[in-house]
Amino acid sequence: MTTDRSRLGPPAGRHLPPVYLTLHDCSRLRALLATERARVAPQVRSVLQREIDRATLCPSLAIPADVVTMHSRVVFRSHPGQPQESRTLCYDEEDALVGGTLSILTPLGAALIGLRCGATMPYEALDGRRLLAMVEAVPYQPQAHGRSVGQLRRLWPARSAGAGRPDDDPGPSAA
Amino acid sequence: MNMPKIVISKQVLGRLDAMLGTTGYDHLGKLGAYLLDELARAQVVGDDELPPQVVSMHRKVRFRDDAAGRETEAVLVYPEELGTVPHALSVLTPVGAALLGLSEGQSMGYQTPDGREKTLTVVKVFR
Repeated sequence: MTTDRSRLGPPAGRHLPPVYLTLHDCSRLRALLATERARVAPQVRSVLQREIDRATLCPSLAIPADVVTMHSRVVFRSHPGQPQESRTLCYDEEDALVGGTLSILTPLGAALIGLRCGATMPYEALDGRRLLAMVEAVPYQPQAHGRSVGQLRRLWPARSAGAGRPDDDPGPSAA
Repeated sequence: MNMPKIVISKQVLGRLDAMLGTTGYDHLGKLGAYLLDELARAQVVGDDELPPQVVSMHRKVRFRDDAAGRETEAVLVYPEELGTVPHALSVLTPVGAALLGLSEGQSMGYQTPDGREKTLTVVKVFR
């Protein structure tokens, strides 16, 4: 970190925070860019392509719980001083189905995907304003939720399996 | 090196994604990273739409070791299925990971466990 950089103000695009993508999201986003080119604004397309190209890939179940993934609920500010907002990051076609969503095909959605809690990301609004998004919390992430459900199932297995571990059963051959 | 286009079914992608996330990803090292990259750039198709000439899980494939010129047949399986079919080859091996998603006639480079670079070519996929 140099004093020169702090005098330049918000990072100009070369200085980007690390991003993490699940294999599943990366695969779907790639397909989305390939098949829906016409529907995606050029600025958003280039940002998403850049993020896909530079992201650290994770198996879906191994993604850290504070990373913004598709369908995560994310608490953020669209720019310093703006009010805090909470939205669910969605693919565009799902927008009509649920309230409080944010499409990945918007400059803000494309900026937030893959960020960890506390990270800031410079982005350009459709009207050309240069803004700085900040992730303040990820209260719900599907992968982390799936992991916790899996842990609960292991702690309290279904009743049929509750009588004893199958390994403990001596079986007919032991008689 | 120009990587060949690879094709994979939705179901295989989901199962490998879950497998890498739950078992062994950390132990796989470079192979895990390679497989993640390959799966992420693969063209994903519906389970019924996988073309017959594409190498996929549980399909038998004949492939050539390009340096040695030797041809081998194998059935691509998940690691837990090893030993259930003859000539089973785990997808979590350098050769298995390289074969996955290739079409007949395509070649792919891979690295052997002892670090040598080799190339294989898919000769035929059986259904």
